[in-house]
Amino acid sequence: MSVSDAIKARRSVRQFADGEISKENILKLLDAGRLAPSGGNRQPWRFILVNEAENIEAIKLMSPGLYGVPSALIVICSFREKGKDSENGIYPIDPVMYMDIGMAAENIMLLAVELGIATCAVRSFSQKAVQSLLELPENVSPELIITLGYKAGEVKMPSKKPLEDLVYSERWGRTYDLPRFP
Amino acid sequence: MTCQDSLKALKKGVFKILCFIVTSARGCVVDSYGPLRLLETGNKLIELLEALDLSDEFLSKQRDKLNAVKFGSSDPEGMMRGLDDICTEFAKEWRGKYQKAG
Repeated sequence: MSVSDAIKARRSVRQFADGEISKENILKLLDAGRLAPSGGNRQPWRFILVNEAENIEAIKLMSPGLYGVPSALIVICSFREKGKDSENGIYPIDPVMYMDIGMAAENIMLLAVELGIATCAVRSFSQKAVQSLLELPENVSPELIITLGYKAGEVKMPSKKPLEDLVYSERWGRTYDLPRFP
Repeated sequence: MTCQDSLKALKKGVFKILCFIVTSARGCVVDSYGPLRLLETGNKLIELLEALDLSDEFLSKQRDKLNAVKFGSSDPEGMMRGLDDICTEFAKEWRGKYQKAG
């Protein structure tokens, strides 16, 4: 499958059919996250794999944005290095790491399309509650949950703004001559 | 299911909904998912009643309607019309079934 096809085929799936994801595929997905770009190659992510049913249920309880019963979760966490003030529990916050985590998530979700695995990125959850459930240290914070499973039914692409509404040439407001795409 | 089992199931079900509500409240401080979370809470309450065999045809029908409107944030007018309809149905049901029964 080409990257272009995966981009077009990816959907946010919120209803899952039964079925376990193989360890081989799980490792492929995690590796895709690992290989994402990051500012200064800092790789500020740690991935927590959750595939035990009772742990998925507990996280789902504290995640209003997590729908359905996925087979597994990849919880992408930010890992903040200790700074000079870390004795006081203060870790430097770098907003770029949120972009990095987004890129890692997209790598995972696009590879999942090729592997026939459905995903959804979830940000609506209690970070403190999930941090507690996963027994994360203070400098590791859950930032994005990727649900994984096999889709139950087709999901339509939601409406997307046309390209001509999103692209300008050289400066804001200057229209770029684009062909119309379906 | 014995009465004791039902009460245990009720408490567990209510606890799960409370988790959803408090977590949603925290999220709604910064996001705009208020109506969605409220409708989802309604959905979960009806599901709990169904699990305890306390639901009825009216509630099951309203749950389908709630699910139909809850992702309507891209069409606020449509969402309002859908919810107006549901609100009216609940008002009629309250009058006809619960208020008269005392």
